[in-house]
Amino acid sequence: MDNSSPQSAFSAEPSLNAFSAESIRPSLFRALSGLWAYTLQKQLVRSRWFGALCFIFTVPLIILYAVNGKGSVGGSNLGFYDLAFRFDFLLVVPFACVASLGGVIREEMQHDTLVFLGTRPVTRIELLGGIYLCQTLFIQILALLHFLVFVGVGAIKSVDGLMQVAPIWFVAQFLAIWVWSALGLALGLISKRYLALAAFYAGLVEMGLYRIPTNIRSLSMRVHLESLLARSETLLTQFEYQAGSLTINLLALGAGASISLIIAGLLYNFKEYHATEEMQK
Amino acid sequence: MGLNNVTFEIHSGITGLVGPNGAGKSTLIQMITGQLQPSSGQLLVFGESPWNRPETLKKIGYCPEKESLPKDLKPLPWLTSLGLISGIHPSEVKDRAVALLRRVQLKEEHWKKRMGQFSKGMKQRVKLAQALIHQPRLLVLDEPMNGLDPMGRQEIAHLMNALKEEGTSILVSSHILHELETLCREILILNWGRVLASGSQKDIRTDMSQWSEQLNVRCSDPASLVGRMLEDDALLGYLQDPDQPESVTLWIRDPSVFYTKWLEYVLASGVQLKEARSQSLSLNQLFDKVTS
Repeated sequence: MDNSSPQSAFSAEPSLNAFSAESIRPSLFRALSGLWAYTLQKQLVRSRWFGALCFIFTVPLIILYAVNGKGSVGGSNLGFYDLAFRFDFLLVVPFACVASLGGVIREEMQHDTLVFLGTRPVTRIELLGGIYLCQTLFIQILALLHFLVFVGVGAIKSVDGLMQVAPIWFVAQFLAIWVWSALGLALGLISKRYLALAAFYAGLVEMGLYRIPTNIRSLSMRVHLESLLARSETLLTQFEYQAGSLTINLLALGAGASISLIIAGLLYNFKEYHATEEMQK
Repeated sequence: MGLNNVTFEIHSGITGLVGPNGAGKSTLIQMITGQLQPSSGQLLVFGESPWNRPETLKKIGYCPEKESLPKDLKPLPWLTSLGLISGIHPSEVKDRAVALLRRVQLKEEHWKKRMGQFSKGMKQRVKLAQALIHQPRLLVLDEPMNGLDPMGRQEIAHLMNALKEEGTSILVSSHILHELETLCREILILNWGRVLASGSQKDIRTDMSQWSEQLNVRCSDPASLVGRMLEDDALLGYLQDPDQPESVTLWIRDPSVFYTKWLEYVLASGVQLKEARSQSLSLNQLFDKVTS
């Protein structure tokens, strides 16, 4: 029956057998390069430009136009650093990370497009890890632009100690983004209300436990990030940050990211296996 | 719907997967394509479990039923990125994607459009292309004809036949049974999470012999003929229409035995046989019979 089928128009097209199957060798490197290409395609669509541009420019522009110049009441130092570290570093950047990573798996599931990634010849941990790496790397690029605009605005405003603060600021932001992104990935897999969960976490851990003057405050990632920032004399005097052991700070941030990623990995398997209505819609 | 005690083999060529909603087709397909792990037992594809095993998944291509594609993306870069994730060498991944889009006959004028603007047929072609990008040995197609016009269905059928000729095994699920009947050498019938029948269409028809078969007979004395058959316990039942005294419908217990003794029954009862008509079941009828 099959043999008697009319010759197909398709069969006149070049067969894929013209390509060597030998050149298909799944590897982590190729998977990451594919996921990076996929991430760029998704993130560079016009509908996402507005969010990205808002992230890069909004707070620096607010500072540019709203913060007083040097010598005026309050001085530009206080206004600039307050907005940069108490608002942007502790609120805007974590929000951007959680919002971006929280939705990355959920969106794919809701749009039924995760299946196209999930049936590729990569392990599940490679896929989830790859998505995390690529999405976070994209945020790092936006955050770098954000940081450069910030520094530019600081230079225009002649903020004192900016060049001394900038390297430590950049390193702390770079590390914080990996931690907040991992947290966002886990929260996104826990609930569709991941932003509300993030607010709850922030209130409980980053603002609640943070204020308890015992060792329990070291559960707060903010403690370790501020400890890193305290290596800058300018910030140390400005905000009275407490400097701690660099090793402990780095280990704590690494542990925070790792725990979030382990939770995300477990939930990724669980949610896919028990695809609930809540995940589908 | 789960699967219980499912054992079957898929041979080369095109195999049809048939079952009503809730039969377990999607669960089976998700297991074969490595999206689900059996809670107990094992499912082997090419002798290995597909779950979390890139070397096995490399040999499997999957075209899902749902027509959702990333709506903001364009087909060529999307296929290229999926090809890279699948392990295709970066130097040839774009050429492969181009060849595939030509092969599934997505016109080049659509390559620069976002996939959210595509018709159902165009989406189906792109989904097929992504399933083929890494040259799988087993292609799993979930309702590939859904939403296609008759011409589109014919083209997809031709593509499947061409792939089969190139040595790709294809598992295709569909509720359009007459298309499976035309396309598939082998059929797998699922219901209630179990395999009800599997094998070639001929084998399935033979297997169905265990189910009662119907024979319509017109003869001079149906009562004598039925009486002889009942003595031999050859019937499950019979029905005689009072308005047609010469006609009777017989439900046969075991057709393979019945037909070897058929002439014996006619001769022993001494009736004059005028007509005997066996029902040759189409796949559709078989399906209804098995799953009802």
